[in-house]
Amino acid sequence: MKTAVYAWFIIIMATSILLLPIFFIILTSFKEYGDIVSGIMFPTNYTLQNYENVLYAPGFRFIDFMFNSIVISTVSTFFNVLISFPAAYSMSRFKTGGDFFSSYIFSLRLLPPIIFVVPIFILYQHMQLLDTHIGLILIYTVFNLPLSILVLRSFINDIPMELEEAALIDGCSRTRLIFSIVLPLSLPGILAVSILTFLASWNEYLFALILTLKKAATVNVAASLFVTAYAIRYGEIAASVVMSMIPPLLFIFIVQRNLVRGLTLGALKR
Amino acid sequence: MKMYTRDKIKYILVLPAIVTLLFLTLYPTIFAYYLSVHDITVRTFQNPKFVGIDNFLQVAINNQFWYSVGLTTLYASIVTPVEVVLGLFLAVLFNREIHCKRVIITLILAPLAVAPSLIAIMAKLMFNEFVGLVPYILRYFGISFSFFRDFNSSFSILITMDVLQWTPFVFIILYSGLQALPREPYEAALIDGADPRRIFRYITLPLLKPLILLVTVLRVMDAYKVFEYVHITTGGGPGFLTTSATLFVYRAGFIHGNFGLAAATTLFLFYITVAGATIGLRVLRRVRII
Repeated sequence: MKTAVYAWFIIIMATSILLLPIFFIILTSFKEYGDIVSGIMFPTNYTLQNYENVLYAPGFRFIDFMFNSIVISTVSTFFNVLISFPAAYSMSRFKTGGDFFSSYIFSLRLLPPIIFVVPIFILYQHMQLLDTHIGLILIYTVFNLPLSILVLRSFINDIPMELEEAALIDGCSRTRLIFSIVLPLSLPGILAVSILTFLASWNEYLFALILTLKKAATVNVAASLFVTAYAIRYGEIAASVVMSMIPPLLFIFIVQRNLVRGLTLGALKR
Repeated sequence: MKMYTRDKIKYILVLPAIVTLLFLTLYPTIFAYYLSVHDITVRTFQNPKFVGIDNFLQVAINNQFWYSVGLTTLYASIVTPVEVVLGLFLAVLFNREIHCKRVIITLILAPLAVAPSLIAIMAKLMFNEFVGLVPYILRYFGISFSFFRDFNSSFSILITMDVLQWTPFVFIILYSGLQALPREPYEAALIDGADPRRIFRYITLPLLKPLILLVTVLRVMDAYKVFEYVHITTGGGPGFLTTSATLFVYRAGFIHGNFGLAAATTLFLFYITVAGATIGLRVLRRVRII
């Protein structure tokens, strides 16, 4: 009983410290201008003015940026799974490419993306891909592949091979086998990978900052644009930050259990 | 197994992954070499002049570049141990029956759902000299302090942000691992009457070792990617003091418009991080993660 109280105390402490910045920004988004500049913690008057300003500000198309983020993150998550699942299956079952290939893929996860930024920027300029949805979708699809392949491969490793062998003996084709046996069994892994890719794409800043300008800017670059464009309008900044947090938070809440089940990374079963 | 290896389908299945990965990684690397030996700025963009290793020499003797690499290394070596220890502690703490566990875990994961750039904006606001909450509280106690004019406080703010945001990441990986651990060793230990501390030391820690190494490698290498915090919150300041290696490249390329120099810097950074990644890969290979 004593240890339980102790544990609870730490859990509440840790959770509130981790959530403090988010809590602060939510409070700020409901403050009036006077309360913000005086720097007090709790607003004297709760107001929705900041949200209204962000949504209806002339020249600042918040809804469009939100839409960009949703399109770019969803589509790149879809393509990411579409490419990484077959590759992970092949690497898990046939050891395709061997150790070299998996090392190569994983090293791409470790290297900082800034290394690729300058050449990609110039390439995109030539290909007219700057400030387009496709440009960012391509980048996010590829840059999330290494982790997706790694997670999915270890997930597929844990699916017993006997099922597939039995199906093959019964004359099931390889394609059908992948779609009707492996795919359904890998669903938790696929969901975990989707969450990770979606979050990474939604939250990505560097490429979005450099490769987009106005048309395809994502909401999280747009929110930081508010800082430079309107140096002291912290209320509006806070409101746009809060709104852009909602979709990923919802997503993580819905699929949280799959994240835990899909992320075992197979490291413990060997 | 034999009938498997003759399948051509295994190559077809990995082909899309290989093509896209090569397109966006191999090609830029080769192109970076081309850029790095040319004088290619916004002005000379159309007809770049070949300058040999000029750009590389400029980077090699640039104190600011080496300072930024050193600073990033310092940053990585502070945030990684802190996050791994805190994450492991939380993971072990949660590895038991707790009321409303799902809700609490979702709350703990919340910082992961918030973009680093947005966390950076929040920090900029919280520590703002005039309207920030922290200076306001300090003023209440009669202390007046501007956080972004001092290296130590600026750097501490960066570290705090990193820890607040990425401890949940370490937590969720280690917690998922703990949940998947086999029950038998624990049951055996309980029957033998081992106390919790010894169970942690002799069962949990060895079983979790591969995952602990994995998150350590990931966090070290990810710390080298730090960009948002520095770019938004401190802007690399005061002066040049909190400029990370990534911000250095960004400035060279996109503020000063010198793509040749940026590409040369990029290649330096590439070799430094490849060295780090190779060590990381070797460690992970030993524990059979990859």
